[in-house]
Amino acid sequence: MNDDDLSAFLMGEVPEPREDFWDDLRGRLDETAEDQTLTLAEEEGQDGEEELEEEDDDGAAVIDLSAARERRNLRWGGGAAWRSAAAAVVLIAGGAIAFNSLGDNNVQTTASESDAADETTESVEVPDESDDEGPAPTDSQSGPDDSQAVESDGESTGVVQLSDSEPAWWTPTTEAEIRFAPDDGDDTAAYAARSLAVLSTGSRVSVDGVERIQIDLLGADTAWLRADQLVRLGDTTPPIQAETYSPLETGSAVLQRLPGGDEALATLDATDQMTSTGRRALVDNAEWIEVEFPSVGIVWVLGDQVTPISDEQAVDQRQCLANGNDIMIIDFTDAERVSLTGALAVGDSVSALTGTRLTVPRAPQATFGMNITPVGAAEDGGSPTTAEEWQGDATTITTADGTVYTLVPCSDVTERVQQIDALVGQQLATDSPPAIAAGRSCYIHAGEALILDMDAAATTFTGVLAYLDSIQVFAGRVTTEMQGDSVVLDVNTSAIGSAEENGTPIVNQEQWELSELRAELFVPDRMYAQLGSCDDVSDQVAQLDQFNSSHPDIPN
Amino acid sequence: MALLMEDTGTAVRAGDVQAFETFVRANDRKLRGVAWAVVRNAEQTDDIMQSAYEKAFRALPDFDGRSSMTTWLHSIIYRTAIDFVRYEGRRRHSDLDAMRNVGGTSDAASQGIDRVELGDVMDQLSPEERATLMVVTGLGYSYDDAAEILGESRGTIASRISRTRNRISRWEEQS
Repeated sequence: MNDDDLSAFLMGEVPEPREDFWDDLRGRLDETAEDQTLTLAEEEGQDGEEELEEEDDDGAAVIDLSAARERRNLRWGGGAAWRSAAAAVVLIAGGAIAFNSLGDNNVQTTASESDAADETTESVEVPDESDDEGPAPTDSQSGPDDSQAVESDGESTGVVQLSDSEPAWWTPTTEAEIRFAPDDGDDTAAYAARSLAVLSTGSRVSVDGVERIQIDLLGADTAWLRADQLVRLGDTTPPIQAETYSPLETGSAVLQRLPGGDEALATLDATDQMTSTGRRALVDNAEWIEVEFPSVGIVWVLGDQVTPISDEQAVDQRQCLANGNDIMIIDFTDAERVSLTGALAVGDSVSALTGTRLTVPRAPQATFGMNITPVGAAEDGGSPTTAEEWQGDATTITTADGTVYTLVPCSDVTERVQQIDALVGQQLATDSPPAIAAGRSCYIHAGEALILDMDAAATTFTGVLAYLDSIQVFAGRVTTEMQGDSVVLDVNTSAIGSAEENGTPIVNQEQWELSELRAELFVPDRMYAQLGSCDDVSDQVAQLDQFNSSHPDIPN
Repeated sequence: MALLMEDTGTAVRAGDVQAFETFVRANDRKLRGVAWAVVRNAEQTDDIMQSAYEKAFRALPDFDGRSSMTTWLHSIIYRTAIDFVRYEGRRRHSDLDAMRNVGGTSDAASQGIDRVELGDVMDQLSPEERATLMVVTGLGYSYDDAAEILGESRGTIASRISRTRNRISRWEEQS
């Protein structure tokens, strides 16, 4: 069944709305619009009532700059009048937040209660200047406001849905209850304070007068927590303009999952760049900035360890390296700083380069590989030469022949850079091969192997797919260089077919897709695989080599 | 802030019931596809859509326009449907299979034996897998957009699609 047939089936199954669906909806929307109007009027009359300062158990000041809360109450019940508790938009900063969802109803603690007692820091959210409406309305310190929980629905649960608020990050002040349904006493578990951050979905209920907020367990499930056991870290309202930051010096900045936390997710290089989300927090009077870092995601960095850089600098993805008078220029061509072009000027000869960074550095001493295909001497027309693997770290790149080039400010070698650009620039812009690694890559999925041999120009490839009981040989070309952050491969498997059937064509042309960072390969209808070590699939590698030696002229 | 709704070209301000309804009416079939895929029950699909539409209407002032309106609505509908399944499943003290098997009564499903059998395959998938299949194959979203709608990583989307296509392929081989 092809995609068109399956799509037709799926959409054909979708039922029409019931007869009175639109009338009912219109009534609900009219009621909502009226409530919003009333709420707005009520909030305008409560501006002077916002709580600005409270005391927590440790005596530290916690300033809640939340806006006045809405007071619209909704039913929590079943049947046609069922109202969802879901948030309108849930933003999840993925990663290793220490929730373990075991089965449907079991969340285990990952730190001891003493962790909570040891904590001395307090968080104060600093509202983004561009966000003049302020963050979400839930009161994190004083517990539920009795004025919110009104109008029980008459059922025995005692659950009343409160008005939704913006999704926001929270951390427990002490060990906190967690329940998968707001009134579900059987699912109570605990987790440690301050070692975790949880993201509320925006849905709030009152259970027997106690406010609970719904949280998202990183997309795995949702659960409910008591609002008075949480302190707010910040909201997820994006800023109008995000700033780009760079560390002040190599190794000075550390990314952390939580502001003030002790989990070092990555130590940054001076050349790294990150985009702020606009959210900031104060922890023990130190400013933290939430940023998006390409290899880690949404995380926090200490404000005094980074500096904002201009848009012009942020766009500049160029690095200049020198070995005496020999100069290397690396121009990253994507925001992830993975694909690159460049030039290597040695003596009187200038070679253009194209390549892909193989791994992302996560520590100052970490090295990363670069698959480089010298396009050839620019002055000779730039014929491709064999791919090489170079090694790099935060400040150096070592070429295949062992020559070490050290990072220098491009402003120190301006004239040389201009000479190189003049020789290489236009040629690279029009003739550079796709930004995909040349050479052999082995993708592995559950013991199955897909071995990809890309030619030096990174435009054609051969390989073998060891899938289930079949060893299938394929050939193809990179016809679509980049699609978003991915590379699309047009594969003509029918040109060769299954090796054990002596090359009988079995599949027509299809498209495969290499993900950003080239770490995953997606093969339609069959598998997706992770980039792995070819040593782990040596049997299949040997099969491919044997096939290649007996079929020197593989059709493509 | 006025929000331009794609497809209809309608500009909607927060609180504008008429314009919002016009937009969701015009797009209802493909919007409700996600809710249907999760619960596979017509009545529950209607309940979820009512709730999701109301929720979206209330959240219109917060819609930042970084994604398309339909992508944003689909994310709300999916989250609402999944929460419904989880809440109802717990309330009834039953597992998700109970939710999966109440559906399958659509007209389309009764039109032919092949469709009924493929509908059975759909019933055997998890709500998340069905939603992923609907978003990617039924509605034609890219993996990246599907990841945004479903709140999952791109790799998870790809693996779900791969698994569901494998199951459908096995069904084709057996039928």
